[in-house]
Amino acid sequence: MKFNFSKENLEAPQAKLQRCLEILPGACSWASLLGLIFLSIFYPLCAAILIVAFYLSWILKITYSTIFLVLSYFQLNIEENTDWITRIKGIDELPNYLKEIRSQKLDYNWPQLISHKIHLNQLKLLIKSKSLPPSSNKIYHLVIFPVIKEGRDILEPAIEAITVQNFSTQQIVIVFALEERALEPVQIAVRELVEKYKKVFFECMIVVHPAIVPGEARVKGANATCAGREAALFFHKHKIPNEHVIISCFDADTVVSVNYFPCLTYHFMVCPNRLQASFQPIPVYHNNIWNVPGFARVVETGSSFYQLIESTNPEKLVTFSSHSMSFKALVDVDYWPVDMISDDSAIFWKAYIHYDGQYQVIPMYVTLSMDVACADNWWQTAQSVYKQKQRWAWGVENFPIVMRAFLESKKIPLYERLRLGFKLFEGHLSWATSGFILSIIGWLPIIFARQEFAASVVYYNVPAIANTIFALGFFAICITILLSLALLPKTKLRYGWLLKLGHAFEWMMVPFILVFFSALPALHAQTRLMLGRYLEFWVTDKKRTPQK
Amino acid sequence: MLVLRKIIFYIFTVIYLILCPLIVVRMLGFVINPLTHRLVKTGLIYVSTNPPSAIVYIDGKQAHQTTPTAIRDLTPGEHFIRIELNGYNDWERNIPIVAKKATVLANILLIPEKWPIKKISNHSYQNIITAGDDILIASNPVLKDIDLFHTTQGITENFREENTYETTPLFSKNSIYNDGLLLRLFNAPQSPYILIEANIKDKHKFLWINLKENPPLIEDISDFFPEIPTRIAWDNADNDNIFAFYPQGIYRINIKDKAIYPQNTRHLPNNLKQQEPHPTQDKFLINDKNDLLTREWRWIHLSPKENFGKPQIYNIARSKPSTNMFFEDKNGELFYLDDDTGSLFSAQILPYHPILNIPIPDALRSK
Repeated sequence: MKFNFSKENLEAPQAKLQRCLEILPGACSWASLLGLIFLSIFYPLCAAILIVAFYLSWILKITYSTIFLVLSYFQLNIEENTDWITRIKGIDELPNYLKEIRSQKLDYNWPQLISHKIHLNQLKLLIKSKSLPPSSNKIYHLVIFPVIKEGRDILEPAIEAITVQNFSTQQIVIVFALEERALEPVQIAVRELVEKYKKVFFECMIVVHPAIVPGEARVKGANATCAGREAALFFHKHKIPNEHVIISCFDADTVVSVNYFPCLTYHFMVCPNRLQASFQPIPVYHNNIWNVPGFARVVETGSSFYQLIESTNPEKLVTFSSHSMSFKALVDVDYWPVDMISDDSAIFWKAYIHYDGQYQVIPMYVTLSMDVACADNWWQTAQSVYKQKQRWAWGVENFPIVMRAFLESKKIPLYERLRLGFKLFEGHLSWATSGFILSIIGWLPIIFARQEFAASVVYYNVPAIANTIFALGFFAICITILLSLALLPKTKLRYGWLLKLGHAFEWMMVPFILVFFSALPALHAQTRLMLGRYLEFWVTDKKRTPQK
Repeated sequence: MLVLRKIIFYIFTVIYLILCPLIVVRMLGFVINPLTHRLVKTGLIYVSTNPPSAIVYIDGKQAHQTTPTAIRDLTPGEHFIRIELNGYNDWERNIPIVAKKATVLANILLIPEKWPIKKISNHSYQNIITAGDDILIASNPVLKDIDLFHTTQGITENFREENTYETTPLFSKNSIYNDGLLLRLFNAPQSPYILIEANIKDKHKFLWINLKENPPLIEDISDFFPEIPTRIAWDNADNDNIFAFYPQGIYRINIKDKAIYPQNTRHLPNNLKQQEPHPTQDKFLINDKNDLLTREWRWIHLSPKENFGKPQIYNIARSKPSTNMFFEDKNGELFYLDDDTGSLFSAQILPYHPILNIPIPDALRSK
């Protein structure tokens, strides 16, 4: 479907529709919050019923999420020791390999058995689809690092992590998408890195993105798009078809795990519809996790967990942060939006609409690590984390565009449009309101109770029900704490176990975090969109302190 | 995983659709009557006692939790409530329960089997007045017999233990004022200062005493009173200025500047315009204003405000007529002068609930 995936250059009726849809999420969030406050004051009984119904849905939601968080975590552990290279080589000679693994005798090691079973199912699907992949030695990886203010201390570990991959670096092309307006030290650092790593990779190059390009906003997507176009010329020059290229657009601080590219190549190869797919790893924020204040650690661990939970639902999975996709799809959809901040999710929606719904995100149980937003002191870090969350919540800018496309589209089934539209809308509404309702508004009917309500049975029953629900919620938090401790990287610091123990207690800040680093930035972002005060791209502060 | 996710999603949806209306109906006070299998409206009763942790029996059945507690699912009509706590008299009432309503029995004061009364001082006194936050002045005609007590001194976590109160004479052994005779004693609510009018060696003296200091700082300010005022008063917000009332007018005496200024009545602080300087206090609303502590002639009584049709008055002790009594909120003690001996006594009316005492750094304390 041909669609203008932008809020710019719209005809009058479309522009009006766009504006109405921009207002909708913020208006609904504010209406929900203010409505509940109004009811709490004037119709407390009505508010109490709604709040208890909300609490119940919340506890079921959190239990449901915790089940899949645990399952997802186990799958991440199971795939940790998978030999992806052997599997890739096997797919290159699929018929023999299939016989071989079918007859393979496995120990009674249940993680291995599960991994083997999943692998076998994927191969069966691949054979059934008759869409066989190119040979693994003909698959190339294009890695784009958009750079604007990141120094060598941030960029070099990211490159270094790619050089130690269990995958031929001669099939990897690195592109530094350097902003022309980047400061000289940054430009020098990038040039030095290119010199150092030029021979390690098939190609390592710089693409400078001009400071001012008509029709572009100052966003990461514009820079990455410029680099993507140059890379397309490069592959064309080397006669490498786009169908054989997988593009990974990474934040500059992304440090991939050693199995990232083998795992990505495997998933690309076994995916029958590989040219219309994105590949989503599990982002973790371990680069500087022990150097940041406790609240920031909890916030980012929560983000990783959210992605782990989402990975169990490929039908609704949307790309997030650093991820990979078919380069052909990227070229087909004309690269990333050049006027949107949330390029990571926008590229999925753009591709989904372009291919009339025939586009999917494949979850990969492999991690890539990024930095937690960190500044010079606690307060600045809090501001940085807040701004970063606001930027993430600005993903709400996708809603009006996607809805416009869904209203126009005739090829995407109605059920799919309703399902995804509802998920997108409900996700943003719940993001901006849940924290407030759970931590503050839920108590208002009791606080504002007038004599009549205070003398009712409901007045005494609401806190009792709420306490029971929160006590159940505490179990979910305990499981989350245990998983968080298991997922955290080992620290080289003395008394590291004490740090981890401290981290367990940091989870007690969840009510505070829910309000100030989740609901508030989301509501802020939605309000800005509602009022037409569009957000500008803001580069998160990243700071690392070497461990002693 | 996707199939599992869908299965669990549908299971949870069904659970929600069943549980949500059930919980809401339950929250509104509806329960299913096990005999008739019909939905009936219920009420609840909320009970809190002072002291807490008492056992509640409703129609003879013990409630799951001790006080404070809410007892739910009570059918409309009268229910017999009994509250028991070791060392206290049982509290029993028939309480009406109304459908969908909560009957609140808040802060029921449990009456001890025997009032914990202790003698604080062997001396006999004429009257008691208060100063500052916790100073009790037990007065006598001779200045050397005036004693000070800090009312919060005796606080211990268990009021049944022997608490000790230290008696401090207002004037030291060697004080030149010791032989003086007390004529009048002035105080101001909450003010740590008192003013004593006394006859010392046949001279009319006015002594301004700062009780914040230890020993109290005594300043002779007799020179500021060329005549004997009918009344002396000051405002705790400004302890530097005292007001002397004469038939011909009011004078403001600035203790710091040692100066006297004529004062227009209009500019007098509002709380000083009333004429009664030392009202004898005979009534206290205690226990979060739920109960009344009163004195009729000699007897000190306690009468609960909310009596549920069963008015009761509890006698506590006999006090010396026309003397003050003082209720200390912080530790729930009542101070009075005993009717027979005139000695200072204290009765523990409310149990003492210690508040977590967070140490304040000295630097902040000095600020």
